[in-house]
Amino acid sequence: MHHPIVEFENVSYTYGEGAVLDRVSLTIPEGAFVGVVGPSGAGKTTMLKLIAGTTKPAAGSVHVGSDGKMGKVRLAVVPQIEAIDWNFPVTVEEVVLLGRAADRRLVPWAPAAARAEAREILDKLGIGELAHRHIRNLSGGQQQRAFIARALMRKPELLLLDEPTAGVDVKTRHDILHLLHSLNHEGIAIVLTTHDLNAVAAHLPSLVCINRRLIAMGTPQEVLTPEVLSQLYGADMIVIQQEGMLLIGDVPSAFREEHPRAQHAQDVAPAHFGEQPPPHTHDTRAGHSHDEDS
Amino acid sequence: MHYLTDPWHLGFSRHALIAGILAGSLCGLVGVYVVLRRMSYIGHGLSHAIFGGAVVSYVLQVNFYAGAGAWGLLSAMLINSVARRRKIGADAAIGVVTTASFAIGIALVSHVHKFTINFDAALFGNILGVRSQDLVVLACATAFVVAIVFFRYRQLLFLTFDPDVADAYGVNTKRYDMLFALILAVTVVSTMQLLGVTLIAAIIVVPAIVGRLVTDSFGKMLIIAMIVGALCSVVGVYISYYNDVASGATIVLVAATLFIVVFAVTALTARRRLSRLGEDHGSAEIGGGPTVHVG
Repeated sequence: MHHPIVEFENVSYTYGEGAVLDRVSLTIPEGAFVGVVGPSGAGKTTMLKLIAGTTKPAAGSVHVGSDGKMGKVRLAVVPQIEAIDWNFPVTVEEVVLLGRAADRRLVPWAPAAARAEAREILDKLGIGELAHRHIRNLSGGQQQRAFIARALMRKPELLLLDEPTAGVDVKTRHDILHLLHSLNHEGIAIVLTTHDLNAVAAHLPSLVCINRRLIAMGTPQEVLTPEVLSQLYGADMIVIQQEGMLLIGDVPSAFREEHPRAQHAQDVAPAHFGEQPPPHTHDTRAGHSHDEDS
Repeated sequence: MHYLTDPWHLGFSRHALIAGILAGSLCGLVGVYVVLRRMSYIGHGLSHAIFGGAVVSYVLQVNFYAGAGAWGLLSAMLINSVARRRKIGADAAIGVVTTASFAIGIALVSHVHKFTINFDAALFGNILGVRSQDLVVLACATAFVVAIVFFRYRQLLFLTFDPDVADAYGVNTKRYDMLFALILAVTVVSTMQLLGVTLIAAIIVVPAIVGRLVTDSFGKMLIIAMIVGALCSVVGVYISYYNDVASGATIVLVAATLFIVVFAVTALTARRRLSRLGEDHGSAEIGGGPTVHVG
């Protein structure tokens, strides 16, 4: 039985005009690997800020904790790479060592043990040789790894990532999600936001669909249905299952006009080409991310 | 050689040189945080705000450093809190808070009409008129700010680099924002009478920009900005001493000249590096590219 690591109870939040989140209640268990999906402005980043504690709910309550003790959890945040000032004068190693910024040390320089640990994490993430490089001189995937390394310096029990796959190529996206998957296997609960439905369908065991309010929560198989997606995005979308893999696409309006059967997404019958579940989605319960090879 | 040693023999110029080293390095150090937080105009704005505080403390017969310091701290905290509201932004926050504060000073000067002191020194600076007690205050202010930056280096770096997530990493952003406001107020109050309300911004911003142009390391940038700030101030005082030109203006002109030189050199170096890269690439293509046989 997994204790909850995050609990939202009727949480609402507003930036002034209308609710960004409206009475959202959900539970994320320890060791979960959850993707938060929804359209732009749906409240995904706000949800991460509420979990991180950098924003307080306007109504309701957010509890974050582990081992059944709410309020005590080591968490780390990986921000959107668009939010970073890439001209800031810091090297990769300096960024990683910031993961220990809150440690009580009087001198500005990091101890040898922390430097060795930073090096170890960077090596593990495959960017050890870039430690002394300025952050601007990295590829998108390497930049993302540098910030994941900073988060890992904190030895987090809960890792929050805001659109970690935005602005990177297909191979890098695949690598990042695999990296997160292996971190999750090491016991770190992960919550990430994304717009990439196909990637989360292939890599993540559980999803939260929000559009200001909670639309659905469950495995990709359970929640990535034309009905849910139509409710989530307000647009018709098709869902195809091929060889155990979910493929999601939108239905262009021109296509809908030419093919009246496709006017409503639910009219397009999902294709079932195989009985096997998609890779990395062996467990059907949110939070139970341990698959066969774990 | 006596050109270099002469100013050290006279009390007022010796004080000016020591004040220049202290004020230049202090402003250079704080300037790094100011520039990287994209608040370059805060030096300009805060010094104007503190001018209002200086007039108020004179009217209320309060010690200048206590009155102007408290006023400056309040203004810096107000700017920080207004700037954190994304709808407004730092530049607009500086504009509103500091001009209002400056206006209070101007209104008081025009209303009271009984001032026995001249506020010209506060406006344009008078490093050659620095007194021993001003030097003591400046030395204490410099030691205080250097100590804060040394002992809270990583927290201040995190706050400057990635303030949105600093709290999640255990860095209390509210507390460090307040500490930063205190550092700013201490810096501007202790250097205002030397460099002047109207010129202080340049000594805060230029050394940091020069540092940024020559290094990609935050730690090195801090040290370079301090050295550049001190160097510009000392050279400015020498020029002022020998040419009888206003000291604040010469310090700023030396800093501006240095910036132009460093900017030109770094731009030329970058261009040369690019063209060398292009040449290497071109020769590699000519020598190592695929051979195409036609016909």
